[in-house]
Amino acid sequence: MKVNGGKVDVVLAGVGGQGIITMASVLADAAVNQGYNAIVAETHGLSQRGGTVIVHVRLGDVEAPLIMEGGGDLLLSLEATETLRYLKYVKKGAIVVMDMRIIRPPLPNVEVPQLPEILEELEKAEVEVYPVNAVGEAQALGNPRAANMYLIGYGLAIHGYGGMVSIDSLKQAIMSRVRNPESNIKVLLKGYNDGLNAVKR
Amino acid sequence: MAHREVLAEPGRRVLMLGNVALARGALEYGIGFASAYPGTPSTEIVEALSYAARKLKAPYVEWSTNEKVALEAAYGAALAGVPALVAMKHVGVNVAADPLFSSAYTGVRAPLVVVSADDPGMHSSQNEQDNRWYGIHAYIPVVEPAGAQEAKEAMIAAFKLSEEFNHPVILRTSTRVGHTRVPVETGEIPLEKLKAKGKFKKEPTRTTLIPAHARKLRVELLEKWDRIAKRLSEHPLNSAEGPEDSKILVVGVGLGYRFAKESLSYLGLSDKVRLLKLSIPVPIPEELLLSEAEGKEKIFFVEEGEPVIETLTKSLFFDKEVMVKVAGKGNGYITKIGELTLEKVLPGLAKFLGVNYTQPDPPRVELTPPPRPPALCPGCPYRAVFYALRRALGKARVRPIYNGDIGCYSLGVLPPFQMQDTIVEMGGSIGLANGMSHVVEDQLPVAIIGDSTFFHAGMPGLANAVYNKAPMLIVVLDNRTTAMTGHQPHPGVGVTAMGEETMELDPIKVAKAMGVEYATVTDAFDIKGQEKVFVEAIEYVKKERKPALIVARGACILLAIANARRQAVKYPVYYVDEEACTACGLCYRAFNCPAISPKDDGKATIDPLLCTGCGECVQICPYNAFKPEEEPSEEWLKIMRTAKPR
Repeated sequence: MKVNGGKVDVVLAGVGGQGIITMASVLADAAVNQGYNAIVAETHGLSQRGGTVIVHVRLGDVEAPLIMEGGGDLLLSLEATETLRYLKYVKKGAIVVMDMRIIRPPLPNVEVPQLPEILEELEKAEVEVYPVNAVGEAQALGNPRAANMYLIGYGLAIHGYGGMVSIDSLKQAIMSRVRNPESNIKVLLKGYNDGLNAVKR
Repeated sequence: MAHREVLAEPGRRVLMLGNVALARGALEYGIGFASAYPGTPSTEIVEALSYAARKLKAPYVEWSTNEKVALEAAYGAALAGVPALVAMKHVGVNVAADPLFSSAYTGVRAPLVVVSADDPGMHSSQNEQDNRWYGIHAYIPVVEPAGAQEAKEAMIAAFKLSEEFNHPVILRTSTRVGHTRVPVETGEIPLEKLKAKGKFKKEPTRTTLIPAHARKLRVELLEKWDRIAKRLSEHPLNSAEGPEDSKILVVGVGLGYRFAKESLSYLGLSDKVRLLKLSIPVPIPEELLLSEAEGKEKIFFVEEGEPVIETLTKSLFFDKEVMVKVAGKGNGYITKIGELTLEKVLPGLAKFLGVNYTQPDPPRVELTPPPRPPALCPGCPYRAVFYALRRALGKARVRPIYNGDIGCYSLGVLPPFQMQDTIVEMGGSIGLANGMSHVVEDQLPVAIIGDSTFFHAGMPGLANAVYNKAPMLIVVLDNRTTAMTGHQPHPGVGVTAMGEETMELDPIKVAKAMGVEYATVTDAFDIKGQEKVFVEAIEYVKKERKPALIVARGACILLAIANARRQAVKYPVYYVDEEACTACGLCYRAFNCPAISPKDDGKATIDPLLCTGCGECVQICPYNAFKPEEEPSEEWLKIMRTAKPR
């Protein structure tokens, strides 16, 4: 196992059923494929369908399974309001890549913040925010369920995951883990390219 | 879930769930038997073994009806000379406690490892009990892997320890061990050992616990306990690192070691503080603790759950007149509430050591996200049952006490249904209703229990209700699987953990055989039909003052969809006829299907990605606004009612 003294803490957030555990496995697998350590802490069971989900992905020289509050380097969020819920797990100046879609909880008479106010709030919050249309882009490429791969690709372009993950190792992880790998790889690359363009801008 | 990686070829480094790594450890040791009742966070251990058993035709693997039966079965296999594993969640050990205690007295002929998966933080449980107390209480050693990183190795060590002392061993995990993925190095699986058969050797003085035998065995047990404690002081899984001459010792117990190690590194103290890792902490390795305490001024414990090892160590130090400051959860340096996190360990450790530390200040937002509790899935048959049951109770003019149980239907506690007044433990629905029915006057106890839970702990309560003439309405929600833990089969569905066909036990026949006179089955997806039956059953209970039982049968919709996909059967998607919809809101307020939401004008809309084609909405809409894109096929309607796990 490679030890380089480096570590990257990635917080994944969203709603149960969006493929967040698969997303975490692919990211961690890619790091393991390159010879690095990875720890993924998941939630199963009662919080599955429609519930709020956070998965901790820790890459590199780490011991504990959970990211410390105020410790995460990146937050990849598949749902806009869930970004608000788990923002406390990243540090100031962290990168936040967030799908702009809002999923209404199936509760009668519940107030849900709207996108403009969420964006405004995040602008004030001392983080580097990248609002994206991951589900839309994935749908345009024929697989809306691959939105999670878009975020991984985007995150790679913006942050680089400390060099422990690459497009090639991600492709390899997708091939071994995900149904319909071809469309997932397409969406991954689209996310990566969109991320690169966002950096240039 | 298949967990294919459990059979990854030897010599590889594979990302694996902690629970799958535990299963791999059991295979690499060479077990011949595994049993479990599913329960979060333990389920994937035997799920992975069930996958292995189907591929390798060994070891023997079963889903047992409950944890007591599971433990007895594994205990029996071990008494007959075959290495056995049994897994359960922490509260399952309460159910299995009786044979557990006896197993320490008799000992075992082949190794027996009892996995207890604790759930601090209560991600999916009713309490936060720390089952290392069971090890102390029952005189059974406890292995506690230092994180998922050590899961496989710890499982092998647990079997070897059990083999060495002919004694059962508890392997205690917690959510962040079992549900954490890490790279695991794979070793060889001894296929011949997995297939080995046993032979029971008769020795009644050891295996029949009549008082005359048990008294002798107790003496032997206490003597064995001391030998085990001595052995654990030298066990390689209990080891220290860092400077020996440090005045400070940090003890990381099990997963606590990972938090301790990272916290020391974070504070820049890794090379200044001695760190003791205890991965087999019960019985406490006295000699090791005493030798590590020599020359120390302060000792800090980091452990998941209660301050178990900290408390026992304090008692040891008192006896041996060791004067050293000991801290941890026992005196409030780390909170006892919830699971370990770095933000709980770091401030406590820093305060105890007198070093400067400030918690990182995360970015903050004023805006609050909406609550997002887990909900019954779109298309869940239980939604239709709750809806019909409430209407029936209203029509029959009775005031119900809803005694709920453990399963997906626990979610009926949330709005809009709020139809669970008690949820306490497996089988508690019929159990509590038994007592209530004899003491209330103008209320009707209703017991709501799932199919798997009925076989687990509902049957003794039902026998009691018949015997003691307890007037109650029992609704068995039969979705053809143990759904909440991920679709395991159970005695009602006709398939075993090894994928073999078997008898389907019918709860109706069981109830009738037990003497329930009013016992009938309804179609869970048919709202009006079952409402009528519920009303009739309530009238029966009121009049006859006896229990009535209804099995509301309809497959878990996720299981139905999985079955349909395999058979290439399509399910319909429903849509809202804008002309017909009057924006009354019944569907998204009172019925509350997650696939249905209001538009700005209050009219309903269906998310086609979420719709599962159950057709329940068609039945509840007074204006016939819900329509299928295409008529549901006969095949789909059949699968919705008969699907079962593989």
